[in-house]
Order: sequence, then C-alpha cells, then structure tokens
Amino acid sequence: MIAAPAGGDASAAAKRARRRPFRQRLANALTGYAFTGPAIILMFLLVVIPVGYTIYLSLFDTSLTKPVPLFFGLKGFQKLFKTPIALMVIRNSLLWTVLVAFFQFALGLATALVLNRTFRFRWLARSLIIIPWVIPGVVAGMVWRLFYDAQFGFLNSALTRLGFGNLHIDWLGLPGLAMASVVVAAIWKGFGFSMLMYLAALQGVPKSLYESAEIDGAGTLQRFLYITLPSIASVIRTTLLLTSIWTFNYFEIIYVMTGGGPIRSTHIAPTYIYELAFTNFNFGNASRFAVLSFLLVSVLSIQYIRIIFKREKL
Amino acid sequence: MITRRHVRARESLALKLLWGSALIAILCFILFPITQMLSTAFKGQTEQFSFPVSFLPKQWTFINFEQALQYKAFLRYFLNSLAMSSVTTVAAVIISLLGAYGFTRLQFPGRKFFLAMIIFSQMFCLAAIIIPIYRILAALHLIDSYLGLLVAYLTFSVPIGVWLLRSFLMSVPVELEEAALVEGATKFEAFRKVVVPLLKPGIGATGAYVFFLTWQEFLFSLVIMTGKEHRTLPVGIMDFVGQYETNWGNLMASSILVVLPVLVIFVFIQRQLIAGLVEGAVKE
Repeated sequence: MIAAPAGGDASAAAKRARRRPFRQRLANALTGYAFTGPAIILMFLLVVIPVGYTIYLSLFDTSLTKPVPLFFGLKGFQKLFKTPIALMVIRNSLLWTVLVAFFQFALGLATALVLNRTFRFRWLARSLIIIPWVIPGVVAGMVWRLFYDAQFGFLNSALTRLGFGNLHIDWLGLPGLAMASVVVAAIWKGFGFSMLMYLAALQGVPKSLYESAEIDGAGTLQRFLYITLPSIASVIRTTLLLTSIWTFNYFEIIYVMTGGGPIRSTHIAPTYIYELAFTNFNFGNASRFAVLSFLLVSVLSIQYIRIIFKREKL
Repeated sequence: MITRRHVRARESLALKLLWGSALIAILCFILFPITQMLSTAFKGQTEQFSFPVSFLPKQWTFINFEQALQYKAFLRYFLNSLAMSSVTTVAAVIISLLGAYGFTRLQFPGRKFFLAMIIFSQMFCLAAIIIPIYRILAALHLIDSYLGLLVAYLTFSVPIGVWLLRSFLMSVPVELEEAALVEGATKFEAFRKVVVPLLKPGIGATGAYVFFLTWQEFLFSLVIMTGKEHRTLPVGIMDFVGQYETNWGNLMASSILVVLPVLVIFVFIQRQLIAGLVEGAVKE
C-alpha cells in the first residue's frame, strides 16, 4: 500500500522511457545485456539447466541393477512418499531447520542485546563471539565431534567434574540425542550472522524513542516489547528467512559429524541426496529428493525475493 | 526522592549482574569447544589419549603442527586451496561486478526477471544441483580438473557477488556517473573510471567474502576432485580421520592452519563486509 505512490513514479518513468526513440532503447538494452550477460549466461548454464535436468531425471527409475533408466513419470514420487526413510528424512529436515533457525534467532538477538550495551572490552567479546561463524564448516564439525567424544570430549569431562557422575555419554551415538547434538553445533556455528544483523538493527533504533519511554515510566521489559521488537521486526523476518534457507541447505556439519547416522537418524535432505547419488548411485531417487527440496526452499526464497523487490521498489 | 534513586540504583545493579552473567554464559558456549581445539593441538601424543582429560596441556608442544606441515599432501592441499580460491575470487568478482552494475544502473527488458533468477540461485541447495553439474562436467571431461571445480564454484560465488556488490553500489551516488556521461563518456568508461574507483572498498569486501566461502567449500571439492593430489584443504584434512582411530592432535593442528588465513582476512575486512552483508540482507 505504502509503495503505491513510488510505483506510480516508476510507471511514469517507464512511460517516458517508452517515448524515447527506438534506437536509443535498443542501445540501452544492448548495454544492459553486455554488462549482465556473463552473469546471466553463467547462471543459466549452472543453475537453470541443472534444475531442469534434475526435474527430468526425477521422472526416471534408475538404480545399479537397471542398465537402462525406465521412464515412469510421477510414480517415483508416489513411491517416495511411501518409504519410511524418505519420510523420516523430510521430518528431520524440517525439525532441523526450525530448531536451528529459531535458536540462532533467539541466541543471536540475546547476544546482540548484550553487545549493544557499553562495557569495557566490548570489542573483544564481539570478536570472540563471531569466531565460530568464521571457522570453516568442516573444521567446526570436527571440533564438535571431538568435543562430544565419549572418552576424550571436554563435554563429558566437564559434566563429570561438575559432579554428574563419571560420564561417558556418546553424544553422537544415540538416535534422538545425536540430532539434538548436531543441532546445538549448528546453532553455535551460525548464530554469529544473526547476531551481526540484529546488532546493526539495534544500533539503528533512535535513542529518542527510549528516552521518551523512560519519561513515561516504561520498564526494561516494556521498552523491549514496545520499542525494540517493533523497530527491528522486519530485520528479524528477513534474517529468519535467510538463516532458514541456509540451514535447510547446510551439508557439511552433519556429513562430518555423523554422516547421517546413527541408523540414519540425523540425515537431512542434502546429506541424504548425497548418499543416494554418490554412495548408492541411485540418481533417480536422489533427483526426486532434490526436486522436493527445491520446492521446500522455494517457498522461503520467493518470500525473500518479494521483500527485496518491495523495499527497492523494483 | 532518596528512596526512589536508591531503588533505581539497586535495580540497575541487579540488571548489570543479569547482563554480565548472560555475556559469560554466551562466551562459555562459544569458547569451550574452541578450548578443546586449541588444547588438543598443543598436546603431545600420550597426553592426548590420557585420563582424566585435562583442559589445558600439561606440556605444551608444537609437534602436531610440525607433523601436519611435514605431511607432504598437506602442503599440496594448501596450494590447491590457495590457487582455487584466488582464481575463483578474481573470476567471480569481475563477472559479478559487471552484473551488479547492469542490474542497479541500467534499464533493459527482463532486468527484474534475471535479477530474481540470480538471487534465487544463491538459495538453491548445492547438494540438489550437484548431480546435474557432475554429469555436465563429466560429459565435458572436466571431472578431477581445476577448471571443472572453478566452474562449479561460480555457481555460488557469482550470485553472492552480485548480491553484495549491488548493495555496495546502491550507496554510491549516481550524480558522479551522470556528470561523466554528460561530459561525453560512454557507459563503460563511466563504469571503469568513476564507479570502480569509488567502489573499491566494496569490491575488496566482496572479494574477501568470496575467497572466504571458496576456501571452506567442501561438497563440490569432495565430489569433483576425485584424485587425491587435486583435493582442497577442507576435504584434505579428513586424511587425519582414520577408519578406527583419528589423530586428533594432527587434525586440530591442521584445522588451526586452515582457519588462520580466513581469520586474518576477516579481521581486516570485517567492517566493510558486515556493512555489505547487513545492507544486502536486511537494510530497509
């Protein structure tokens, strides 16, 4: 609604552009394509065609026992929805995305609130907190694998020292517990990004709002609920969208920590697609799963693109 | 009056304690796993596997770093990673700089559609498009080649480059370019002589971010580089992970060596990079 007058401007500009001579418009278009052509062609070759090819592959029944892929249309998807493992992987993927994205939001916001206050060595605290985000995913995964180790992990030995008994919990060895463990590691790895976004947003909230609220006698919690949260709500929404997309697609931390085990309990879409394609060489099933994850991620990506286009009034 | 001020002071002390303990809790969560990484890297072979586990090495040693560096393949992986990341960075920055300029400053049919396509492709699950990319590269005989990996790396580095550079470009005033155009410069001249110099910090930050992403990329390298000598560091350090027993000391020492370059880059570019990310992702 608010964008309406700006939209009017844009269409007026477009009308003016249309009145320009054809030759100039052609020249403009050619310059535009000259600049953006390489990127467009590359993305066409590397993303659009591969996605099309994946959809095509998903219509075939392939496996090592069948020498010639058999076309069977959407039947593969019907079959897919009847396999318990596939359903479990979908459930895991959704659970993983929701938990990791939510806690990255909660912890990211809490940390941003802490770092938005002035205290000595704030720069040091901020630099330390951002380290996990800078560490490569493979390294983070290996560090957490060691940290969770039943014998040598610091987690067990810290719990033992705190008096919980002589613990040798295999954090990554039990279904259920393993999922919780990888979720915690992924939160650790990624919440720095959310923190940076929220910190920037908090610094943009006008101080005068807080001052007048204080004069009106609003407490800390009230100021947070009625000033801070509404002011940064749109940043929270876009950050949540981005982190959900990235989390859904995140491959290496689970691949390195559990490889999808134990008993496939920590498999999510990317790791399962990898296993189907490059361990079992079942490209048909892998492609069906890939198509499914395209669709799931697209729901979020379309939201994100709509927000970007709206705010730039494109 | 006095009592009221008194209450406020006490309240703020309680609040200070609350904020302080929150900070300490967050720092513990962040630093505890990192402590294990550092401590394991500086422990000798016997101390690594001794009980009870000690949080700090009793005897500090550089033996793990020496062993990692003496492991011949490690140097090779390091050079592979360095070359791949540098070449990808240069290629991706050139392509996405041109693209970002076109998408922010020029008018042409299909602009919105193609921009949406590029932003969209940044969000695709790489594991889901790796099958077709693998097959295309195989058809072109580019599996296990640096060129093949470079092409694969452009799938994620170009969209991110366009996305970031666009946000930097939007904060560069249009007037200077227009002045150059009025003086008779062509679009490309205005771009090269006016926009690129003004955009240098943004180009630096984008290049560093692409380097940072490529340096840690794992999946493409794992699938495409089938020959051991062609691997990059993130896949290469898995050599220290054994089927039955992992040499944690060597693994953690080499992990630190993998992290250091990107950590150094990050320290230098963080202000620019964070500004660009915030602007690109969420700024209203």
